[in-house]
Amino acid sequence: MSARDEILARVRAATADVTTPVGARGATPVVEETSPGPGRTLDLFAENVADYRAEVLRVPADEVASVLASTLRGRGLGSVVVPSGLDEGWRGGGRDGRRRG
Amino acid sequence: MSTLPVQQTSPTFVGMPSFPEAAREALANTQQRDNLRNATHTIRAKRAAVVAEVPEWESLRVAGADAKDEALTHLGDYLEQLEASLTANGATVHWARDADEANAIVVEIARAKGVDEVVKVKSMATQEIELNEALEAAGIAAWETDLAELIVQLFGDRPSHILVPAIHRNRTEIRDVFLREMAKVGRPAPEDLTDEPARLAEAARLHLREKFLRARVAVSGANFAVADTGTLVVVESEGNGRMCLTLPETLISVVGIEKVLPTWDDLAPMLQLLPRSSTGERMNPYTTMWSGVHDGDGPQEVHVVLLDNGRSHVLADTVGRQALRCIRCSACLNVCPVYERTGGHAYGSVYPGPIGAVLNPQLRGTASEVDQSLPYASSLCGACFDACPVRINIPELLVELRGTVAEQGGHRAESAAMKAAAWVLSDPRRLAVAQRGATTAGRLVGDRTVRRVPGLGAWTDARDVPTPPKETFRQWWARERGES
Repeated sequence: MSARDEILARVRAATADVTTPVGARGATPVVEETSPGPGRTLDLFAENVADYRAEVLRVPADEVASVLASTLRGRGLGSVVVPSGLDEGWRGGGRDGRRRG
Repeated sequence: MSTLPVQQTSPTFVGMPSFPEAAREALANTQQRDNLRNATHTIRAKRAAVVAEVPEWESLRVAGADAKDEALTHLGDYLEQLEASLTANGATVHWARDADEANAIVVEIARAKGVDEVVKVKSMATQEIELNEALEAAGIAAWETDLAELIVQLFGDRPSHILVPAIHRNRTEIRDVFLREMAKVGRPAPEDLTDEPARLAEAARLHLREKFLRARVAVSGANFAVADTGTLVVVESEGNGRMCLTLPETLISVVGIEKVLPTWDDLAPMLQLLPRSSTGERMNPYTTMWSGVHDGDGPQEVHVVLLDNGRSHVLADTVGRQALRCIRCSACLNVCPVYERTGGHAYGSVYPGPIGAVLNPQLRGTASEVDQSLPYASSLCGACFDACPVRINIPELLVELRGTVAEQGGHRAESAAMKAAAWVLSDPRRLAVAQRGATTAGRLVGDRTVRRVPGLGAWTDARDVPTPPKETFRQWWARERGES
């Protein structure tokens, strides 16, 4: 007998006492958690990220580019890598390094 | 007992002494006891804090246990579904009855790739089958990439905890072994290395990076194997797993057959239960999931070895099968008053602590000295059951297994004493005679403490015998009321 057939035969023998059909529990049970609302969820996220020793800056959408730029300057960084699909607005006036060459 | 084959004790653990004997040595190691106490108490407090944050914790535990029970009680069906999903995703599925078969499969794949080394993600299943030793025997080096596993490997030591295998070592010992051993197996540690955690981690990162970038084959286990989607899941904290699971061209995962989950949705409770129970984190830093092979992304050859190695034997026991729900979080180790003092090595297996005390005698049977002693390596305080995220009733299993050991003729002196006690206690006249004997002894002993009784060495070595009373209640009653 192949290892596959033998293992399957073993587990079927081991569960021969089971009478409930497979999947009889119905839909996968979901443990519900009440959302505390978007505001509180955002606060909780910021708290937890800060708890992991991240520095959290909360800024309005139209200030992302300027805060990013000043944060990078503050660390003396002149260039960074970014993923494809990054919101163009976040780049602000930053030059695209790929176009330099 | 089931007739399905048990697991053969792996070479490392053959002939291990009984738990109390092995524990005596560990208890004498004060450095290790200090390290263990600090580490277990720190993790214990972190776990308690993050579990208390989740009001639905008990419902999650029930959902987690139910998902595993659904999978285990219909394991044949879910394994076939898992195999079909994996195969449809482009993975190759292998089946291994035991450790030797699993090791042979992995060695053969590595040989076919023509490699002389593999990188490894921390995995209990591959430790259980002693895959590293099998690869080494075939001339293939297996590099552990988890920081603590790397430390253990450099020491030539054995892990003593499921999650933090180097829990018995401290920082200075780790710096010394890095300086001494790293150069022998790859990039040396910096000469000015200190025992600061950041410097130690940096030395490990540089040492390992060379191996990640060079390796063509990786070996992992899996925390979960989802039957309906054919997805394997590895959760980890260091990112070394992600490197192994994505960079090499060939990925081989050794997965115990009890790791299967019925559906993708069953991951939801599991991924909430595991990190909080395990490291005391709300979420683990890295969760890697892969479903077979994808063009230009990740490993181009994915092998999955489904391993029995005694699991079907455990499954056949209707009470004992709940131990297969275990997701290897190690919460039960961290809360255990016995583990906290003895550490993991005394358990004679890669699975230490309370879960090891119930899993090993079921996987391997109760023929060896160590497996007969493990069900007694507990005070039955029940902390492990309270901490278990999938509600394994470990104390219940310990008592069941003690019964199994006693019935097969283990602990003969204790069985004889219990039978004698039952004979005496079942008849008031016999009891009266025994009590007269005890009170006579009580008058002879007086106020002295009985430290030791010849012939009862193991029991009285660590305990004072209660001083026998000068008068029993029944004797007092007869004296005061004049009746018996």
